[in-house]
Amino acid sequence: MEQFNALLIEQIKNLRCYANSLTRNTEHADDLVQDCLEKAVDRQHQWQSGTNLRAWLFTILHNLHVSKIRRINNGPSFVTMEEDEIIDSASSEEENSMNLRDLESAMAALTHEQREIIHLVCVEDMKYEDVADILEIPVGTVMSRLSRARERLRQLMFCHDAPRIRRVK
Amino acid sequence: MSQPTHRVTEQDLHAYIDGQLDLRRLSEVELYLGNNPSDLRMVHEYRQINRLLQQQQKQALRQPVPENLTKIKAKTTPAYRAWLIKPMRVAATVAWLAIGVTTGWVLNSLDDQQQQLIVRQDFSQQAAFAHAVYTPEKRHPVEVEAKNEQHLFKWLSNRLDNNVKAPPLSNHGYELIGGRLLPGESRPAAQFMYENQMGNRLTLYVRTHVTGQQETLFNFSSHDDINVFYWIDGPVGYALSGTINKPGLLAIATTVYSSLAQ
Repeated sequence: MEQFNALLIEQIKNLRCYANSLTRNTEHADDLVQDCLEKAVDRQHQWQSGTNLRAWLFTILHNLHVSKIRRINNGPSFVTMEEDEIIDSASSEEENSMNLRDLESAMAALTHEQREIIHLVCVEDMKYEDVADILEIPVGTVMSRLSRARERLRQLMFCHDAPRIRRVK
Repeated sequence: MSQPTHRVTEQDLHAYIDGQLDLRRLSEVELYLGNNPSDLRMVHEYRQINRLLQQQQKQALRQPVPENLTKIKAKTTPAYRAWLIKPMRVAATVAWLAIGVTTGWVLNSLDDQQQQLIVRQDFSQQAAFAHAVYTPEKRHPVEVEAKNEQHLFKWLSNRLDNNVKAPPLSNHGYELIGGRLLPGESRPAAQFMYENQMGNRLTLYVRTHVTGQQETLFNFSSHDDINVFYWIDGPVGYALSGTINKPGLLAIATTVYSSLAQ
């Protein structure tokens, strides 16, 4: 149905961002989004018009990603540091300033489950209960994962004692 | 989320940052933060992270979407449904090929067990089953094509012993492809197939002398991903099946009902 397709197209940008938070790779993210859209079209009768389409699509995408992860058995994308790659803090302004590059590196150091929680809560502004529904986990788990993810990001971005993580290509 | 005690928890702090805190707790949390500078700094830093993330998202949303993503298509061949028994489907296809245009009595080519299975299923499930069997067919989805419409209606009305025709659905974008004859409980059934410009197919399954059913209003059931609206009108039962969403299918079923009620 063309109308449903139009509704889907409106959600593509947010789907891409969500997929990116999971995969950290634009190509993989777009593959995931494509699979998600195809599945959504096949199952469109399962979506009740007027209910939250984005949440429904996010659930599909999350499940697709989980299946993919199980197949590839991808571990957490933790980046380890070589001694000589530690960057000394330069001026105090650089020390205190945060920029998007730091955020990128810090996010890359989280597990995909942690990134997912951060994306849904902080970027998509979803209620904890809705996040729990999408990820099919209890609200308590959402909270504890959020807490750990946030604290990890904070340590990486604000702790001037800890070595700054540099993305290893 | 609200605690019976006044103790401020870590959960409260996160909820405070995310705007999901119970408003009654707001003043308690703010009071707590006023007295706990290290937690206040933590909240402040979490908030900065939030702002950066949202800034990043804003930038990302400005990026154009690659064109291939906007060309959304359904998968062209529907997956075979779990309850579609493979030998039965093969037998049905083989039987179709063997018998040609003038008869459609598929039931005879199936063994006893398979025959029993068909007749025991309820009406909507039979309609959905027939939908699943024949709509994936590319070359022979129907026995008699719509171009021979008068012959099609006459033949099926004869076999069903009741006036049978396929109402026009062009207002909904669907055109009749044609129809076939199928096994039913005590008498054969008719199946009409429609298709729209996107290749989506609907089937209208018609049976006469539907046993054990009284006259009904619209019923709905769903078999796997096939939705069915069905109703009994006198001795005739009708079932409209498709994989489109429920409200869409209902609109078309209503048109079918009104057309046939004349």
